This record gives sequence, structure tokens and C-alpha cells, in this order.
Amino acid sequence: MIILSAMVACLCLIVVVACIATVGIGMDDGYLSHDSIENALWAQDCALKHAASVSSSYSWSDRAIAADRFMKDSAPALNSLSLNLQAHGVAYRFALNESFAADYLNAHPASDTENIGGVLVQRSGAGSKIYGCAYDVSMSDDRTSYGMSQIAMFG
Amino acid sequence: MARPPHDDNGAIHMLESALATVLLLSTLAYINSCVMAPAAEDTPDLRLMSADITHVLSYRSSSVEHPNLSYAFSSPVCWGRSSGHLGHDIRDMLPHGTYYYFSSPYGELGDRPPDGVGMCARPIEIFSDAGETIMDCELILWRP
Repeated sequence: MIILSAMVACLCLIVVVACIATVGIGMDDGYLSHDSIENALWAQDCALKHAASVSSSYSWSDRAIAADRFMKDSAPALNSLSLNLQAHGVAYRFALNESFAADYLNAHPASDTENIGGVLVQRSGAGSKIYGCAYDVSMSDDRTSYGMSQIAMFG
Repeated sequence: MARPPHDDNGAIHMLESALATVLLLSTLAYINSCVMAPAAEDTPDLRLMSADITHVLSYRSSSVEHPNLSYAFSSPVCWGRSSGHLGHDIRDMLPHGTYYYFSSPYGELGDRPPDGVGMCARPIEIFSDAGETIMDCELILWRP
């Protein structure tokens, strides 16, 4: 009976020490800061710009295929960014915003420019060029949330 | 007069108490002897420096002698060609007595920090043209 009580006491001591150690680890700052958000957006925009450059070799009549190619080409990089941020405890979400793109074109009308699912496609001679996209992005961890809607132009 | 039967319960209890005491003291000694590594101090100036270095390397225009991150990570070949220059530039941006360690899927630069030094670890996301993926890298600034 005495040994049993001593064993229970030892177990309680170990559990208490483990809890204290865990709380100490949990007091670290979250990942999201102004600089980390800026860095994630920079990497994301680099990936979008690269996808736009490889999707701009289609004819104007195949502009929908070009827009679709842009979305497919940018997806692996954005998925890897999502996984990397998830490993740091951050939930990342990216989605094209067709209505925001439509608002942009209404405010900045241009001939031979179309909005295809949030991707802005412009006629370039007989071909088509992905020159921008409208997206919503959000990032959040335990302490901070960030979200914005943006028109990214690829020049 | 008959003698009462010999009672050994007291001796057993004493033995139990002794064993229980040894068990408790052993547990306390083990918890006390656990080496708790001192928390690495994330000093504010190291944090600011790493933010500035990341910003400069991300947005500056690229040349052979001073590559930016986009160029250095565009392919393993570009990394091999420009990592030395990148490391040199990072070292030049740091004050005397401050060191760096940069790790990426393509390779590492600088000096790994020893245990117990003040340091700031900054994860950096970098897009690579070759793999069409965004890589998770890390810049650690530390001082002894």
C-alpha cells in the first residue's frame, strides 16, 4: 500500500513536470508577422508570374486554354507553399476572384482583354498573354489572421 | 502464560516505507538532473537584421556577383553558381561578431550555431523555377 502510494506520487510528479515543460514550449511567438506575410506573398507572386510566363504561348482563340494552363501551372507551387506554412502552424488559402477581376476591368476598360475565371488575358498580336489575375489570400495562425484581395499584374 | 504470536507486519511496513522513500527520492533526483537547455534568446536586433537581409535579397536586382534569391534558387545549377556570392553578401551585411547559417533544400551556407547562443531563426519561402515549387528555407543569425 505504501509502495503503491509512492508510485502514484512519482507518476503525478512526472506528469506535472511534463505539463510545465509543455506550457513553456507553447509560449513561443506565432509564425505570422509583417515580414513573414510579406515573404509568403512574395514567393506566391513569383510562382504566379512564372505560371503566367509559361502560359502565354497560346493563340487568342485558345485563350481559355491559356487561362486554364495558368491555373494548373500555379497550383503545385501554391500547394507547396500551403504545406510549408502548415508545417509552421499557419493555415494558407488562395483562390482566384472572378468578380474582383470583373470590377477591375470595368474600372480600367481595355480592348481585347478578358476576364476568364479571375485570370486577366490580353490579346497580343495573334496570341494571348496572361497579364494579371485577381485573387483572395488568407493566412492565419493561433494569434494572427491576415486576408486581402489583390490584382496581381505580371507586366 | 502463552506468548503472543510473533508479528512481522511492522518490519514489512518499514521495508515498504524505505523502498517508497528510495523511489520518491530517485524520481526527484532524476527530474532535477534533467539537463534543461537554456532557451535561445531571440534578440530583437537579430530579428530586425534577418528581416532586412531577407528583404534585400528578395527584392534587389540580380547580377553574377550579387545574386538575388530568385536567381540563386531558380535551379540547382544556379544555386551552385551563385551560393558562394550569396553567402558572401550575407556575411557583409552582418556586424562583427554576428554569424549566419542558411539552410535550404539545395544546400547550406554559413556556420551552424552551437547550443546556448542567442539567435534568431527566420523561415523563408522561395520559389524555384526548376521544380515549380516553393521551398522552405531558413536563415539563422546568431552570436556567441
